[in-house]
Amino acid sequence: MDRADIVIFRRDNLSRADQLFKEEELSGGDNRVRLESHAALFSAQEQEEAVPTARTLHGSFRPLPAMLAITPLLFLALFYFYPLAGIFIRSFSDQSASSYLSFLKIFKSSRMAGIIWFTLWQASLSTILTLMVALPCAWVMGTFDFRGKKVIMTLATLPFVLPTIVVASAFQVLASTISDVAASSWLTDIVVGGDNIAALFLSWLVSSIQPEQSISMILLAHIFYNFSVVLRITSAFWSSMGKEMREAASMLGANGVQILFKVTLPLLRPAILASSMLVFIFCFSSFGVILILGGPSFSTIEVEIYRQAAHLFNLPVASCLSLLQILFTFGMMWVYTLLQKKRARLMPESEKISLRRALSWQARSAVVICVTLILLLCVLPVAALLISSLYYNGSISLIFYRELFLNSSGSIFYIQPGDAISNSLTFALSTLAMALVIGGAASYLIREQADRKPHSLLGKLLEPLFMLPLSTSAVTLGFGIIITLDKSPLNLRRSELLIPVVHTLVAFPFVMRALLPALRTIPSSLKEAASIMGASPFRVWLHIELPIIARALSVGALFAFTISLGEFGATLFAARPEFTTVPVTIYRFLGQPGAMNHGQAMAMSSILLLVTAAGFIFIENIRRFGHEGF
Amino acid sequence: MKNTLLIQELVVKELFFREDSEEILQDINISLNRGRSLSLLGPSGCGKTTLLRIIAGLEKPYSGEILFRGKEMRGVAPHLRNFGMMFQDFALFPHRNVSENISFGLEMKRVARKEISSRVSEMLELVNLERQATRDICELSGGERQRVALARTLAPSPDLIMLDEPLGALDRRLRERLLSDLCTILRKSRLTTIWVTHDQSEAFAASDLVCVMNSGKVEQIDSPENLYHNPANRTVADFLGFQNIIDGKKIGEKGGMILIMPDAATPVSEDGLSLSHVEEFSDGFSDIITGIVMDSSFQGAIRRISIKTSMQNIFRGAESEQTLFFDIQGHTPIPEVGSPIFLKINPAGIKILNGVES
Repeated sequence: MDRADIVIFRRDNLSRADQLFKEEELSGGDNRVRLESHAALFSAQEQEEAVPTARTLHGSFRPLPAMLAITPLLFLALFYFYPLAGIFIRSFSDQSASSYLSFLKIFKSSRMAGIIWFTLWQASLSTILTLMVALPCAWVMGTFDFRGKKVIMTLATLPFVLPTIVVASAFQVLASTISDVAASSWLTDIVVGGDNIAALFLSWLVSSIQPEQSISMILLAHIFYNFSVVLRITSAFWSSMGKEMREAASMLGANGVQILFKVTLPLLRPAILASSMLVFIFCFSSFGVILILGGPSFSTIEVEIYRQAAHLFNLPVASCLSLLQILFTFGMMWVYTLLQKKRARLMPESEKISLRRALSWQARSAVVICVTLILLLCVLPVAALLISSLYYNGSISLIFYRELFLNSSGSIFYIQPGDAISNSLTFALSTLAMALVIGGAASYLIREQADRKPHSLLGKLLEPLFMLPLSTSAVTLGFGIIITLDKSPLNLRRSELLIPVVHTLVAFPFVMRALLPALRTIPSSLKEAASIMGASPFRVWLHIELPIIARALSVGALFAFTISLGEFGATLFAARPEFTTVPVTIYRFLGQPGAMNHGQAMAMSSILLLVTAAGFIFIENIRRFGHEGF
Repeated sequence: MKNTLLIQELVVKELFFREDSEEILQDINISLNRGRSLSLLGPSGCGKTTLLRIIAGLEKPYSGEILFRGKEMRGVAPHLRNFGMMFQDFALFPHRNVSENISFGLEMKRVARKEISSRVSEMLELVNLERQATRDICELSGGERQRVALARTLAPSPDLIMLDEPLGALDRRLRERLLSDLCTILRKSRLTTIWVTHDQSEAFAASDLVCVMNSGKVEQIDSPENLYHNPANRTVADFLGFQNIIDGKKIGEKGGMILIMPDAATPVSEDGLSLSHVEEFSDGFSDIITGIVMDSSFQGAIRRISIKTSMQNIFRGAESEQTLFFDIQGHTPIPEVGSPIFLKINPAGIKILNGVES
């Protein structure tokens, strides 16, 4: 292998790792938090990996007029820092009482303490359960190669990218199905055939789970959502750890058990810790799932912010809670970043992926159990949702879908579901455009900075700065925006732009994450060669850069589009009735009694599910090709 | 080899290995005496690493025997064989620092803590890494890693030490320097050693015996000197880097190959040449080669020339042209590029290769 080969090889690894991380990050709705993290990892990797390419023509290319540099910074200042400052100001300077009083109120009230306790408790339990399900599967996925593995992996990742509202409705259907089954008890009869201990156990299980409005459904939904985080991070680590470490240990006299405890698990620990931290953060700031599945009896900090602000109009308390949430998430992100750095450091250097085929019967049955588990976990809720959207009065019907587009009078809503769909599409397209502009400009700004002053502090801080919106929970973002952007100097309360702005804030970091690695693969010699051959800066961009980043650009665009379609937490705050989007409409449908409302919620959720899934599968595919392209 | 007491340490008998019905190793027979070192030399994919892994117990052979000190190793798990192996990219444990890596094998043997620490410092001293004892693996340079890997392999005092391309992961300059270090340390340890490499000079420098392998078969096992002077066949000669290999016919035989050693030629001046000087070999070629100098490059002690010659010179009846390469002692005057040259070949420098390939 000559030097050039090695360079290319390393690049490939870099983008492989990056791909993996990005996949974890795909998300809709309020699970956005998940993302930032990787910023940290990425910049950590960057410092080690990105040996700067020859940088001879200092600043001779300036495709980036000052305007383009200012746009993303201004955007961030106006729509991120300004609202955040609003929350701070609200928390500390209250008209009615001094701020620390409301803080005290929060901590003294037993209800609030209960909420904080519940938030921590459910997040911990969800994380432990997710680990218990995902780790064995990660071992299978990281050890064996079998036919259809890619499909299973995509399927396992799908829940992660679903909009939170879709997950919530899917689990609501699943919950009611389970209780129906329990009530009729025909399953008991079928499965275990009558009265025996197994039947008793099954009915005890169902009754103790108490599917509807109970903690078990919340936990199950969290497992469903976050399963793939642990699965992907850990199995990637597992497979790239290769067999060499284990073989080396074996040659040094370690037996199977010693290898597991002295080598494999210690090596996996950072991956397990990092992924569980991530899961913990997601569950900690879980909003839609708890709001819908938990009912009024369960409330996390995130949900309480919404209730205090939107239902009780208690803005000081909401502000304090938001501040608390911000501090919590930032703190956890910081811990996660540290863990990530350790993980990157311990990531094995040989990047060979070693997988073997499952040949023994033990290995085969492990694969079968793992695949069955993934199918059950990932397909069952989705299937329940799709079926219930097609099932009316005991027969299959499209009535719920038709109803969405019929202008039935006496609607409980200001606008029709059909209008919500067109709203959502309009917002998603505007988000796409804005996110491409902001994200693109930010990426170029970061690269320019890195090119000109590779070691300046500013250059290093730029990327984490632009990733900040990702480490802020959706609800705090939405809350900050409604309390600051509703009055002069910047009043967007009635503007059609408000929702796309909020969505862009969530989406543009994704565009950056797709775009930056691609931009970084372009060696400056390429552009220099083109310019020496007489291409103007614009033509260099058009003929050299654009074709290379085209795929990444389309991945980013698709991300922006699907994120906008599924965003729930912030939109619920910011959307005026006439600008309602699909997720908010589904939420309102779910809150109404009656089979027709419920059915329409299922139909809309199904549509959203299919659109998101299609987008995700499309992204997976272009990325896979794009990979070879770079 | 000297006439000392030779104990057969490792015997590989009629070993076969298959993967997906593809023959990876065919009929391997090797025997190695205690304290000796053997190199497995061959191009990548020839099966040398697989053979090493089978000896280590990391792969199961399809058939055949591996005897170590007379004991069949088939049923012995790798961790119970007390062999040491240095992996190609070292496989150092990233979660343990330098001395923790070295102590791993001793811990597995449940050696007392005191003894471990003294053995570890002994090893650190041996590889000259005392100051790096508490460093993290990721802070080490390539050469340091190699030395840690060596120390880790030697620490538990294995009965047999195997090295899989121990210098393969390093760049060229480092490689040359570390080769001699590594050889010194290994000789000092007096362990029975198997060394896998694709580099001929590494194999020659590192071992008493070289086993040349190609596509799953052993082509020749011999000492470096014998191997160099008497390559068994064309594959071996090719692999050792000989270029003057000529198709030819030895009288009375069907076909064959002739190898002329690069240092076997001395130029003779044109006027000093008379027919009476030309001896005829019984095999039917003369000891004088005539040709045109194509290239001549100064290489220090020698000058390497390439000449284009018509085979008629060498073989009666052969017609084709061939380029031959010779290393001429530095002080001998050489005609200019493009001029004719007469070379006298030392009959000892001509080898008949057995491999029939026509």
